[in-house]
Amino acid sequence: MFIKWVSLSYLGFILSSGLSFGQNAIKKTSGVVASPGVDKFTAFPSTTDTTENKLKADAIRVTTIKTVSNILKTSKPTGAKKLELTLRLAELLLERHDYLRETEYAQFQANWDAWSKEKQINTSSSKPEPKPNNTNSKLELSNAIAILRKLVTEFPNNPKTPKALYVLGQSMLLAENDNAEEYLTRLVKGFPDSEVFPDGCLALGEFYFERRKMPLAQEYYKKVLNFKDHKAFVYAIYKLGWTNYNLAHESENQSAKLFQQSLTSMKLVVRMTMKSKETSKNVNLHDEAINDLVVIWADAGDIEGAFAFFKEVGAEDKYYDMLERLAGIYADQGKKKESMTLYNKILAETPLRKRNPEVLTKMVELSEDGVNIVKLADVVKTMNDFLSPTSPWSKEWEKDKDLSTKVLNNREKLTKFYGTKYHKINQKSANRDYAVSAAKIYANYLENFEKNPSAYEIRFYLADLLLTLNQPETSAKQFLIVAQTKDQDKYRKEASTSAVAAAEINLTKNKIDDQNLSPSSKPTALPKERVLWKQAIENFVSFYPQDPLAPTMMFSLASTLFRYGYKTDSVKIYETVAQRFPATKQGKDSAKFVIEYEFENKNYDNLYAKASSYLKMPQLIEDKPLHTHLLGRLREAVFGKGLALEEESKFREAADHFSNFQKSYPADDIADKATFNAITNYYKAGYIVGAVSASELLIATYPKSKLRADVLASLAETRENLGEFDLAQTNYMYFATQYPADTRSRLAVVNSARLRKGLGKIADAKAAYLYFIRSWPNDPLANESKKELAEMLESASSQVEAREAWQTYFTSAISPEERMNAEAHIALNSDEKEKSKILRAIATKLANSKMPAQEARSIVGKYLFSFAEKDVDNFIKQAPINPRTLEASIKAKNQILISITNKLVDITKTSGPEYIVASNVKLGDMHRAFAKDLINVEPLGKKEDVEAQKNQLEKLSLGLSDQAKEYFSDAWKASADIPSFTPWSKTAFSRMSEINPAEFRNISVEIISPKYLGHRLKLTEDTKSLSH
Amino acid sequence: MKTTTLAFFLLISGCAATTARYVDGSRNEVALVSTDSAESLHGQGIKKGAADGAIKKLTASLTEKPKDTNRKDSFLELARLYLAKGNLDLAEKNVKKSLELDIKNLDSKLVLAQVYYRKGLMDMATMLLQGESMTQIRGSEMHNLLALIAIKKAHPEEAWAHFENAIRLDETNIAARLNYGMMLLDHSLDRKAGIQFERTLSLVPTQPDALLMMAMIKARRGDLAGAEIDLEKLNSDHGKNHVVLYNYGSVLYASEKYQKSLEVLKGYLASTKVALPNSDEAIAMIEGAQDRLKELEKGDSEVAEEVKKMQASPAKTPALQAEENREAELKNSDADALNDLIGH
Repeated sequence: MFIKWVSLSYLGFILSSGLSFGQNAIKKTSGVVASPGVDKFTAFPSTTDTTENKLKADAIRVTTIKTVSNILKTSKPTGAKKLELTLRLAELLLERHDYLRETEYAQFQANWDAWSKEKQINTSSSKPEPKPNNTNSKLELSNAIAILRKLVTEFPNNPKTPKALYVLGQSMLLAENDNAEEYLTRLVKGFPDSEVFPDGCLALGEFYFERRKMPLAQEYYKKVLNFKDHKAFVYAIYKLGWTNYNLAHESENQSAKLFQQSLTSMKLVVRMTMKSKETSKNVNLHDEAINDLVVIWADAGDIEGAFAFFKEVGAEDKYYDMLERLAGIYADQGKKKESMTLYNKILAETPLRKRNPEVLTKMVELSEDGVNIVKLADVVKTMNDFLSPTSPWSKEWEKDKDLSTKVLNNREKLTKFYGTKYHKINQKSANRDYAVSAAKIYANYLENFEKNPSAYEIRFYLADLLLTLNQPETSAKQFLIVAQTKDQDKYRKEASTSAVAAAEINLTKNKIDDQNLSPSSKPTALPKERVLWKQAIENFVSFYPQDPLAPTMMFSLASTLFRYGYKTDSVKIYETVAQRFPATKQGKDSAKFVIEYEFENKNYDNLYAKASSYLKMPQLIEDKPLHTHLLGRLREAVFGKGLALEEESKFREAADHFSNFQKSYPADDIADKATFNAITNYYKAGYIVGAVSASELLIATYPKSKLRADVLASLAETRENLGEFDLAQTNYMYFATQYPADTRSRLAVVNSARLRKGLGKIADAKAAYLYFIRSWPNDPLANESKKELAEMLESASSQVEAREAWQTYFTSAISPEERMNAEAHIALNSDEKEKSKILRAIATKLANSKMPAQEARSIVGKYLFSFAEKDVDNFIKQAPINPRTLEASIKAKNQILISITNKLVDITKTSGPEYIVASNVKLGDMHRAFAKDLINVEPLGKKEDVEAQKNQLEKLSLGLSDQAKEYFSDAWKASADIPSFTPWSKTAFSRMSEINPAEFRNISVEIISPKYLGHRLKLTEDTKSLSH
Repeated sequence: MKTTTLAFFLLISGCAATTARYVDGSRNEVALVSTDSAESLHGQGIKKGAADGAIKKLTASLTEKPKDTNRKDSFLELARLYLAKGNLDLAEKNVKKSLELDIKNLDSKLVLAQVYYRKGLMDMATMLLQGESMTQIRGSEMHNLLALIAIKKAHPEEAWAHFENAIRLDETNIAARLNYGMMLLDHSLDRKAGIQFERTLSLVPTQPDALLMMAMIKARRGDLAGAEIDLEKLNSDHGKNHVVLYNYGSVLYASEKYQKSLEVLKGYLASTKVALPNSDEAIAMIEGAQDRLKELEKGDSEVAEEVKKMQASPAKTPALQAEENREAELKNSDADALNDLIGH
């Protein structure tokens, strides 16, 4: 044991414990027990003045020093006066030394605090640690010593010399000058009766005690005991006890005795200070004595005795203080078991004791013995349990906020300290016990200080330790908590990563072997280990979605979920991996997986959307096989989806779908097919605008498409159906020129020709017809085309061209009737001479033929009738029969009548029904006119002859009238058989009305224009109102 | 089996087109007939607002059911209704929508051709109807339309043939029968025309155009009194229609009811500002009537002499007896003429 006595003046300094100079205190450090200095009780009462007052006092002091110095210099006193003044000056210098030293210490303290603070902020700061600067105070001390030394030399036997010696000795002690012994010894040896003799003895005792010269120290302490009224009397007893205690340690034989003497001294001090304690004097000494008794008793091993004494002096609480101290001493002495016993005893017997937190702290410290490593965690737990906010101890002291806070902070720090310490040791030594203990401490920390900022870090450490201790499940959970702690991200990344790692280890540890699990059709509950693993991955990905580890984790998660039947969730993850990490293998595999999944499930919408999306991702499609695969699936999607939509009769959607593909991939191999399908579906949807637009697109964009011909043909037909004839004819002809070998070309040309004809584009139509006739000369439609061409040209009054066209038709016409009709048209378009020649030849043929040849008959009839009609008109307009040449005139007129009649009869034989009616009407008209002429003739000659002639003429007239009626009647009858509307019907009726007005009433009728159209509507809910 | 229900309603007034309606219950259809002929006897509507109601419902259905598979039919029905009402632009718009939904629908193409016909676009209508598919499947109404186009193009023989086919294919095709009947009557083919109008009236007994023409045929067959009654009724119902006025005046003239004839024919000439097809004939009849009335007036003074003689002697003279007989005859025909005759 090493016991040190430190001079009061330097105590605060040496211990450097925050005690301010002049504040007398005892500091106990580990292994060191120091007794209080005498100043505390004697020479240097503590100053409580304010700094300001001290400053004022010093100013006065300085003035006084100057004054005294000045007197000594100027007045040069001698003898006792000089001694008195010089001593006073020395004392003033000493006082000033004290003051300056206090100031210097204060400055040092301030400097040190500032340095310390800066060091905390900037650990790398190279600023040197401040040191105390005692230059000024030492100067004053040196001055005082010098004056005093000179004084005691000059005045060796003056009555004031003892005091001067004492002050000089004390000053030298302050200056750590061992010569102090010389002057103090001169005092006690030379002035045994002086007033300061006991002070000198005490000072010498302290001098020797300090220098471990215990017998000499004992000698001088004992001299003090001769002065019972001296203020240091009790202190001398106390120090005497200490000398015995120290001697007891040094003596092998006298140890027990010396301990006993020491105890006696201390007991005496306690008892002697009992009274002064009540009056607040020597409180510290009393208490210190009690405490020191513990030290001594501890070494003496007499706990029971101590208990009895403390009980006697009424300081039972101090008993526990003593026990605590004793436990501490046991601890210092290496008697940890005994120490712990005492600490436990304290806790058990005084659970509410204020200092129990210190006890517990000591217990914790004591448990760190390097042997029972795990036990430390238990003790920490005990500490935290004992001092938890809900514990009886905490309840007892809860009003003492400072204490509560301090205790809380201390145990938090302690718990953390030991947790981290053991953790570090474990990391270095790999000693598992340290890990176990640290883990327990960490866990305990988290139980008690969950809301402490350090809890975040501690939890991370704990998770790490748990993993080390092969507790992966708990570890993973803790890592997850760390990772998900709000507003804390220092360990987030590491914790997130480690959580996944721990969860993986947990899978292995629990033998979760599901890698080869056949994918379940329905979701199957995940084992709890997988759930944890899933949470860990989800956590990681949520925080570090772009981390290089993420794709692997996500891919693994996706595949696992898929095996367990969580297909939707799985595919979502695969999708994310593909989108987020297209450059990685996982990204590419994921893309492929997603595509395959959607394909297998015929989710064509998704398949299309995803494949399209992937194909726009350069990093994905840098993988050529994948690129090819995606394109293939995209096509499948397009057509699969399109067909599905078609099956659902969603034609418009199907069409848009196909159309979108073409827009997105216009250069794709199947873009034309997609467009074709779009067209087909637009048609089905009735969206003709779309179909036409898509058709035009295909035709223009894909000239080599095998589908182009169909589309073009269809487009032409559509336009024709829509009444867009001009566009239709263009399309038809374009088709024919583009695909001449296509079987549809022949009809396309004909259609084009017919539409051009309808549109009045005669030249174009002619060109189309001629193209057809040239290209397909043997086609059944060729003859029809020739005829149509001829008819068109005839209608367009292109006589020469028409004739040529009819001629062409004529040469290829199959039936005689067709040829006959063609010949008639040829005639119609010939010059007048040729026309007459041909038509009359045809008339001859037709007259002897039963061939219908309606066209020819109509043409011939019309032509011949036109001449006959003129003849009839001329006949009717002829001048009346000349009575002078009556017979000749009648004969001549009759000849004409016969001639015209023959012509008209011929016409009835060769023409169509219209001209039969017309001819009969004209025959009737002609006969009636002749009859009228005859009846109006006034013959010349004798009256009798005239009468006879008139009778004959009347007879002739009546015959002709009858004949006329017959012709009119025939005309009327024939008119009923005409399958046409002809004005001759009306004329016939009119003639009949004239000859038989009773039967054929010629009442004029105005008709309503025939413009009626019919509209049949189905009776539905919408149209039923029409039926009411 | 459903019973065929026949009904006819007087038709939409104030429209360019006149529409008749014939419900064919056996086919669950309603057949409308329309014409844009101004002289047709306009009716009072299918039932006021019925066509508009159907249009409204069809339009609403098309709006509310954008994916209805029957949209093409709805568009087509709308087109028919608009066509019947004379709204040719809307008819065209809707029939094209119908065509877009069913590009090869022959009914739609027929309606579009009908629209073109009404618009006077004969070539367009012809080309639509001459398409290969159309020529292969020609229905009654298509033949009717082809006949009308043929009339416009002065192809009477074709018109005749198409009318015949139209009626052969659908004996209940009122539009075709009316058209055909008008054409026949215009060509004095009274017997054939009478068949068409009689068949029309057997289907739709109140069809006014057919009634009018039947009255004229009746007159030409000799039943002047019956014709006059029919025409008087038609004139009462359609007083300002120039066809009715002319025909009524013509029959009155033939019936020697010159005064009334005179008034009616003057009404005919004043009925419209546009050129009338028979204004010359009407004027001739008016002049004839006036002459006849003058002659009768002269005859009246001679009768008055005879009456005086009768007052002196109660025995009836032959002339007076003849006059009494005449009065009795006239009493049944024209009260006003009688009053003029007896000098009141």
